[in-house]
Amino acid sequence: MSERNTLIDDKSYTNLEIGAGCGDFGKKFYPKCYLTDYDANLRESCELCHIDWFCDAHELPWGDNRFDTIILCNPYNYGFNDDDSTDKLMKELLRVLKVTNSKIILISTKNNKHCNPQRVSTRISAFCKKNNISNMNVSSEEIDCNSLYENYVFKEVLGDQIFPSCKITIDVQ
Amino acid sequence: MSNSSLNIDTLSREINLLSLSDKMNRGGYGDLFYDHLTGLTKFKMLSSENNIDELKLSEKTYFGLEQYAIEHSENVESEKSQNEVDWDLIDDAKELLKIKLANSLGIGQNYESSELKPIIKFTTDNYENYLLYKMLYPDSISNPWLPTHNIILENGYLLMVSGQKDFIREYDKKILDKEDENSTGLFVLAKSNSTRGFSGFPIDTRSNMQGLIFDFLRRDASGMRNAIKTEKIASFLKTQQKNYSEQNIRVMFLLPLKRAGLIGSTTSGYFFINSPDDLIHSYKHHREKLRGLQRTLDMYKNKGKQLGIDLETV
Repeated sequence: MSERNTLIDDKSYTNLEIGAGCGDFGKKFYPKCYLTDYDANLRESCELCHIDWFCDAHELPWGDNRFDTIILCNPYNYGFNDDDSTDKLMKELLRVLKVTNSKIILISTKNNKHCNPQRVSTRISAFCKKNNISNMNVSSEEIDCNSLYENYVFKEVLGDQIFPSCKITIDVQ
Repeated sequence: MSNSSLNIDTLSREINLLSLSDKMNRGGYGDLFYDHLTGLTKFKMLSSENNIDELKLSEKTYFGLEQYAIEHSENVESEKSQNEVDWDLIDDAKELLKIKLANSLGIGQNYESSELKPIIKFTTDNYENYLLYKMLYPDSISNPWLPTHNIILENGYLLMVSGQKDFIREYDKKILDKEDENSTGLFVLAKSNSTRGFSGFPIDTRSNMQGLIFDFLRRDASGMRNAIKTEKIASFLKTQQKNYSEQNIRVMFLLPLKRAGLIGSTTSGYFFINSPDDLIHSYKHHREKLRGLQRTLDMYKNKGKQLGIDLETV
């Protein structure tokens, strides 16, 4: 269900948020950021829908070597739950990320099985080994989302507030 | 199983004992699946914003409920868990279950290309949720994946939830024929041993109805002194253009709400538990019923002795 929109691809937009839902985290904290989500129903269900492009995270409508940063806020039901999911997602993210000096930022709650820091680190190691990749580095830090992202309300799929406690960075050197 | 007993040896033993069912009837998974769904929706029902009655069940909202239970566990448990999750152990147990299921279904080495991969993956992911919650709350009886754990490991069924009709059609198109006006558009697909096909059913809107009734009781039957009978609940549902028999209201909505510890009941009817007294009242009522059942069992055992049968061993 990859819906192509009529948005003109502005090359000055070098950041991309995947699975943004009803939020606008990318636009707030990573200016010049396109927001995407899989669910086209968000147009009706969000009070204010900020999505620029409705598309599957595994089939992004951009060419190769396009973005500096890709952001994912607490992904659920896709991400790093197992090696298959990681492989599928990372191949697509790495395709649209710039080949060097780019990164993936994951804002996560610690018990989310799709993006727990330890899980992400384990899966990325396995992914790099399998695909013979040596220029990727994973780091994570505990965060206080209220102070780091002041006045931003993170929400889960059903719309209630959550408080992410980890920021994971996957650097592509 | 306490948290300390969650180790690879105990999990491996549990998985090795799994034997896929030879039967393919709904009795092995139907009611348990709905218990699982009530267990998931309970977390949302107890939030300040219970909108379960309006929640349109889809794949997205099903997984949303799953996420909700983990992220808002304190709605049901007394406090937020401070326990650490052993992700490596979960990975190991999932892998063991995957191998066990693939071998039991006779696809062993062909797992990656098998049409059964999606249902095996859903089953192992579901088991993962059970373990994750168990690690957070080792002694909880509100683990919403406990019923599906029973479906998989005790009753020997694989299961999957899907809203994709084309996908369901590939496995068993008869499931689609069972849809009616109470269907949500989401389906349960189940599988037993390799020689049997698939089975399943459209998931109905009972969790929405449970949410609606729960809110009605919270509003109009708060506390044991305001308990109401099924008849009044049926009348309320009629005002919402929902027609259900009193028997169906009891079995599909009230009993699951009661089993989830969400509402109380006595001979006067059903009520929202609003105080410790309400809880004590309902607890005593059910304890008396249980004692009555126990007395019947004891009488049967006694009669068994006279007939030379040890009913403890049957």
